[in-house]
Amino acid sequence: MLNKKTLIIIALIATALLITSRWHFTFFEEKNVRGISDGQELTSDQRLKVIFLDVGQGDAILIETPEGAQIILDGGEGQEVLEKLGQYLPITDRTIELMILSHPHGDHLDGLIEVLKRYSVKEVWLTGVVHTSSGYLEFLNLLKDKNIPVKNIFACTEIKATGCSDKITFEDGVDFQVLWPRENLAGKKVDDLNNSSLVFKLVYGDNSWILPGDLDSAAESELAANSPEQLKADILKVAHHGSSSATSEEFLKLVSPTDAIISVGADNDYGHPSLRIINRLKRAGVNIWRTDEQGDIETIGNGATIEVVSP
Amino acid sequence: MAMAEPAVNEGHAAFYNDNQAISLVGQIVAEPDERENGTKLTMGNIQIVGAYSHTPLRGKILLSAENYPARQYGDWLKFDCELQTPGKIEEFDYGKYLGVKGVYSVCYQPNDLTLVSSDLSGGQKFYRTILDAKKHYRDILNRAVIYPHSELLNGLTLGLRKGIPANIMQNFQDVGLTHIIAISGMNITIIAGLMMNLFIALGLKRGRAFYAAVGGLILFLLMIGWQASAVRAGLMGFIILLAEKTGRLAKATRALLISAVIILLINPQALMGDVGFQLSFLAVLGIIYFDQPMEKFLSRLKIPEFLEIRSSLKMTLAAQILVLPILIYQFGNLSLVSPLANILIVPLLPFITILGFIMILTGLIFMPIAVILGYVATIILGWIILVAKYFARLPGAGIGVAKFDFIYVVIIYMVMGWLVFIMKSKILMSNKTQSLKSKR
Repeated sequence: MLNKKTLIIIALIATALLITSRWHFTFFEEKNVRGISDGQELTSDQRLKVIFLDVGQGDAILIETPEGAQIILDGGEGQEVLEKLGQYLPITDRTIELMILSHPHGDHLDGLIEVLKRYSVKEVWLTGVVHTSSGYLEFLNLLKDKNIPVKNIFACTEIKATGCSDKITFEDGVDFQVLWPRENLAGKKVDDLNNSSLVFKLVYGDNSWILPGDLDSAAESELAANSPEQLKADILKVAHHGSSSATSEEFLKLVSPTDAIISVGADNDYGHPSLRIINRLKRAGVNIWRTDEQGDIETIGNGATIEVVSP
Repeated sequence: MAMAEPAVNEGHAAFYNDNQAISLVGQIVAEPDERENGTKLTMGNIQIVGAYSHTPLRGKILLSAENYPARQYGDWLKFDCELQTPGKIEEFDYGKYLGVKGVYSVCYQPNDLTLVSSDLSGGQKFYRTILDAKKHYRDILNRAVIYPHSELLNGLTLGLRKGIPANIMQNFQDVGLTHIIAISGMNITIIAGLMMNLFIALGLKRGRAFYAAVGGLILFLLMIGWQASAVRAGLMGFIILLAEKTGRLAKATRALLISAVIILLINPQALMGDVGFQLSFLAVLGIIYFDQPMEKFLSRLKIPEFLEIRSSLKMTLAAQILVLPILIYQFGNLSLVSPLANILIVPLLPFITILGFIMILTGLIFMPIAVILGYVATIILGWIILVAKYFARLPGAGIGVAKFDFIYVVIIYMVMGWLVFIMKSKILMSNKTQSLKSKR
């Protein structure tokens, strides 16, 4: 049967395959650093990467933590997110530590369904808002079937309702400050799902990101009234794919980001992003990054400075 | 054979096409066709819902449903719909295409699609079991291999090719590789032979390895849905197994011809119409004729014999030789890169397919092993995707040279046949002189 020589050769091949497995995906794809928002080089090896994935019309954000965990916030509409996860995760990694659903619209949800089927997801955060689309029901069924722990997230207000959270520490140094919704939406029906979006400020050392889902200006002003100083951040993911119904002057001023990312599909049916919003960002002196023109946009923070890179 | 046009009267579903909405009940009678933007369901056993009773209708309906909730083969569904007659889509005669399958009505927007029951007949239960198993296997592969590599693997091992992204399909088309995911007959034939080698390498005796490989072959055919063309190719594979068992490959020509004749007596159309049959027949013929020359060639290259590696490589390469002309003819795009791309990729297919099976088997028992094997699979699949991608970018790829005439295929095969004849008689001569020498 198998002799020693054979076993050694098999072992050698297996080792070679394992070594090359990490390397071969990136080897053939050339990557350019198109711009660095802040001239400084990153020094520390401890980095938080927030990658705005180009998944067409929709949102999908991959967060890689310094300790090597992966968080996926929304999944876009189609299968593109799977391809992106295949690219960014080492092929030896079939685990997503945390999945967050901002709100159950198809352009944020649908991609996550396939991710649930193919990856082992450790935990899911959502608002728990009621929605009866077939996709969302499938999503909830999968969570139940796979026994994935689900947390209903909402921000604390003066009332301090039970189950509310101000800040959730994902791992040492990586904090999600919960800004919205300001009430427990679990089992509740809402008129406008966009305004039920989970909104976070992600903080890593001095770096911060505002991730507002599809929130529109009515909710923005309520946010601005309640926690004005908390909104300040380095990076803003422009709400609702750059729709003119969001990103008011007032809100933008409070966030006052250096860079703004618009997650949007080319030639989409909604006319996103709105020219008005683009001009507003330009006037405010914000660097604009668009997934439809630049592809994936990586923002890499080392706790002090943030580098923005698009391949 | 022309399809007889069905009599369209009150008893046929198509009678209600392009009219007002009606309430219907029907059963899903084919594997649901799941795509990214929706699922197509072939509804049969249609009944029109009346106030007091249900009236059965002839004819099938193709129904467009959402992907979720997932519908299963055999489900009885109730729905309201304005049926439409399938027409032409640009050049493509969609109506005719569906008519061959007995579908004469389409329903793009069903209302109140609800599950009524899941009553299955005995035969349906059996098919449903196969489909359920297939889904389960697909989930295992999807969990073990990253996307889009997983979709390619699904196509190769399970015949599920719908998930393969359009850009990859386009690349395959441009470089003439579409056949690899069509569960090509050639692949089945080689897989049969390789399975036998695998079992021998694992330490089984030749006789036992034969039965194990036959079992594996039947399992594979079941898994991809026991399609007629695959079964024909499977029969060709069986001949290779038989020849390997008796160890007299050269004597297999007669068995090959007899089974080919039987197949053609049952269905004469297979000769010209079934590419899978053509490919598998030629693959087997190639394995028989080029066994000795390949053996010489590979031993000169010092390819090791352990683990049946030389024998497997020999079979894989020998099978390609006679197949190549018909492959290029059938899968078109006489691009300059096509032969090279095929040579770089096709020999890997049997290995990756068998690896897929092993992943499924191990995944059923202990998933982490399947995941580890998945790394290996990912690398090979990545290579296939990469070759297709880069070759498709080369100048000369995808240039749609008009399909060359079949007469050239005939000429090429006549020349090849003549060369094989010369080669054979040379081998025969040298064998004779050798035996003469040894007699002295």
